[in-house]
Amino acid sequence: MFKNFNPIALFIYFVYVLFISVFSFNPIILTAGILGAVFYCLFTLEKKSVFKLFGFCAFMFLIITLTNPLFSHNGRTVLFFINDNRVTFEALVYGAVLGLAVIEVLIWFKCFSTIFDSERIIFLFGKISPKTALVLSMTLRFIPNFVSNFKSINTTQRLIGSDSRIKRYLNSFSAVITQSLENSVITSDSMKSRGYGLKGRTFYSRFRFSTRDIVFIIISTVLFALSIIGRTDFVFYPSIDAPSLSGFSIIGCFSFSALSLIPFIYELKEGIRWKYSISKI
Amino acid sequence: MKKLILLSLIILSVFCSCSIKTPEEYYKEKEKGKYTATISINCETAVKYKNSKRKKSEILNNYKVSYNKGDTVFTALKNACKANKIQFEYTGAGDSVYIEGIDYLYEFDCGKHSGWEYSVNGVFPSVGCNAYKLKNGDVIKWLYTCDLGKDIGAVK
Amino acid sequence: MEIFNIENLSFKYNKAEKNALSDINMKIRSGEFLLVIGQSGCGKTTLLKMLKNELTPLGEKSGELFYKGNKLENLSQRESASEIGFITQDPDAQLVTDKVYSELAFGLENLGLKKEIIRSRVAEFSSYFGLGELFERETNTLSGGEKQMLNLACVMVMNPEVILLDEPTSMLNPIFSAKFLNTLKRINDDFGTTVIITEHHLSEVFRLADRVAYLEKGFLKAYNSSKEICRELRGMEIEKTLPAPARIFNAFSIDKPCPITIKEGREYISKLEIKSIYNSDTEIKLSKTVLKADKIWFRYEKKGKDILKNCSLAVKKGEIYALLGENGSGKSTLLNVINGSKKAYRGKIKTDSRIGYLPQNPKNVFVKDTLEEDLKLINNSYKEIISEFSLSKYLNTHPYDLSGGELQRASICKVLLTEPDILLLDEPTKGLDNFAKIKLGHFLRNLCENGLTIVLVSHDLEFCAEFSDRCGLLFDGEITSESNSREFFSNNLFYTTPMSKMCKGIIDGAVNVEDIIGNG
Repeated sequence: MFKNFNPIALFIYFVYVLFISVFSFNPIILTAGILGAVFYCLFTLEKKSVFKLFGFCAFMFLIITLTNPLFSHNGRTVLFFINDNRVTFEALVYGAVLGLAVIEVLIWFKCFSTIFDSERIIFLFGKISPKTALVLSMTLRFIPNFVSNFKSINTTQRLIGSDSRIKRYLNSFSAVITQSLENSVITSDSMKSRGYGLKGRTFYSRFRFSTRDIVFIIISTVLFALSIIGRTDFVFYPSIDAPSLSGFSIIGCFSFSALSLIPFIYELKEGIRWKYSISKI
Repeated sequence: MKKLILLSLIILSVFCSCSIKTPEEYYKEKEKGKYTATISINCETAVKYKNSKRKKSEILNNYKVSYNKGDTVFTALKNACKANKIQFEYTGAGDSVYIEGIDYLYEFDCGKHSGWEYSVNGVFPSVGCNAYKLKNGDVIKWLYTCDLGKDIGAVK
Repeated sequence: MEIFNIENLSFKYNKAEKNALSDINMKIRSGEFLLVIGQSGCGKTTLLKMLKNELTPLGEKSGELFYKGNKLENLSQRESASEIGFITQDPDAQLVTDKVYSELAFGLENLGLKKEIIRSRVAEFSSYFGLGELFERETNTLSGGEKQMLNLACVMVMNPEVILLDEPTSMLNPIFSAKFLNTLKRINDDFGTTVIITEHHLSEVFRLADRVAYLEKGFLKAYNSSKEICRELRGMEIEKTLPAPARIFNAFSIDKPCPITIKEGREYISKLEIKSIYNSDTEIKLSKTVLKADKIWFRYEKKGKDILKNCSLAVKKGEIYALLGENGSGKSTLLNVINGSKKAYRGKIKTDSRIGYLPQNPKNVFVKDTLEEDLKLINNSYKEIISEFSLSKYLNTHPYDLSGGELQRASICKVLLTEPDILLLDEPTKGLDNFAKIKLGHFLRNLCENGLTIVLVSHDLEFCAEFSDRCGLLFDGEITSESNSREFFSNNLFYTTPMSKMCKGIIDGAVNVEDIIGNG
């Protein structure tokens, strides 16, 4: 699966895609990026969450497209006037492209968050400093513990029923802090007795860096560079002016489309391979 | 559901309070007033600006615009633009109206110090254009600057 | 060869008046399974902590400790970390990281091992401990038993010479604690790892131990093989905590080898000529019903599975009713439905009485810095009740500093201030030693004689057999069998006390050790 690439490789990939998505204002590029992310979502997410995501995106797109002409009055093609202000076709199109940019970033972030679970994020931090990774991991354990302890103390206090609500919350909160401090003594003993604090702590993760990660990074980097070189911006004001299709811009659009389709193509390939190997059995 | 109804009601009422006109209707209207002022709009600095695509520096030359008592430089500009079908865009309201662009030429189009300024009878007032009340026969000039007014003589 | 050699060890905590340990001399053999017993506060935990440099408490120490022939204090931190493992009774607080695999790797990371070595070590031990299915889980989502098993695996992954365990099963239910102890024995057999363990509940662990050390008030009173030591402990207070076969043995004849397991006990007991038992059937109280749960249905999530199905229960005034059942059978859920914190979607709770509720963790009852402040939160008439509970001297103590038994009593005290008629207790004996348990049992009996009604949930069959009037077994969301305690435990084949298992078919109706040896 795509998410089984090394998190560093994945992270680089996401930086590339999001960089171009944020800094290029080109409907062709944006559409290609959205298609890549949407295909990947359709392949990996549950139907319910896909519908939810797409519904939200459609809503955002509409809102942004319709509000932009109300605030921007530039553009030669006037559709109508509202209170002496012109509402123009150009502003509407500009809003639509802005909407595309926003939903592209949204969908890519959704992909990012489904791929980067706590393990992958801790791995990224672990590469920078093992200590930070440990602190992060301990925090991820601490917070849900704290919340559930608070809830159970608060329930108990409510059943005993001696205080007003606010007072009860405050008391429960101070109690959960005291309990956490008590537990932290045991935790620190446990850490000490397992050798925490010795010199040369290493960082263990279940991820390996293999040749396919290197190939993946190289391909992404090449496509990224080509998309940057072939970058072309559209002009919307005062009238829409699409850049003439030069060789460069075609390469740029093509490269970015390829870059954003990598996750989908990879999943597709794996899917086909799986089917094929099943039919062999 | 309740929230949805409330929201659509709000949108509807905002919509109704707006006057919507087609471009033909809008430009057919004639603003009449007792007094007149002379207005010019010029962007010579933008034409001279490097790599500029603008060829014509004169947008409006000594146009006699009519206005009513209590009207401001902003009203004069609005009336003049309407009569001559010139695009313009502003933000703000009341005294703090600010002209962002005229005839598709916007602030910051020619560098980060560029934008529109106005003078009345050769003097550059230090108040906003909707705070400056006109006197009969005033000569208004809207000038585009690329350097915070230094290139049009607003700042010495 | 000795792994530890303890010579004339004495230890006094800073600011303490008496020695926690006095003049201890022990030679602990390598590969031994050593059980350390004694009442709470006898110095068991202190002794264990003395055996690991990082955990040695502050205080005055005299005497010498040798580890593999060298002074323990000269052992390097690195060796200490990998060779001496330590596990405490709190399964949760010992865990450090968020995921099971990262917890397993934690110690090895500290030692600075290479990723590849860690990978293979972690894989080896997670399959040895059967943690494969838990491998990617978050540590928060594990049950107490799974957590403690993980703690053991985390220590074992460092390939230690010796594991020190401080009451490792006191927070676990009987099934998990048997599983844990058996795993420990298997490690001991498979790797020759020395095990030094302290425990309160001896019925399971006693038969696993090679040798047993008995501490009393900081002195080593007895130190011998598990069969021999029962005889030496005869007449001492600690005798009451020994496994049932050994107690019977001590009460009758002591010329044969002492039976430890149920099997040995049955053989021994069949040769004794006892037919009658001391305690006659407890009378069933014919008082009125004060609490009735009528056909309760409950589930946590809309589409989840039913936890309680058509569950009915009637509790009579002044009785102790014990709800038994395996993990997840819905015992605690039923208590929560009765106390009103969860709502049944069908069925009703019928009662005119006020209900007081004590959760599993008695600490949750207290929110202030001293016991007095906490009791004041309810009302100001606490002075009388607190002296009845003999807790007056702890009024200025932080509740968390109380011992397990005192904390449990104090929490009951606080709930009683709200003047309930019915008290619901969720596993009141969890984490208590035998003495505290017996004290709590008598205490609860006393409350009932004064008119309180108690419903308790427990895994502790021996406690329920001794102190409850009636027992109900919750299975598959409903109460499948219910009768007075003696009948309940003597009819059950598996779900019953060790004594009952041992006497089945030989002495009918014997459920507690006291049934045969009397209370004297």
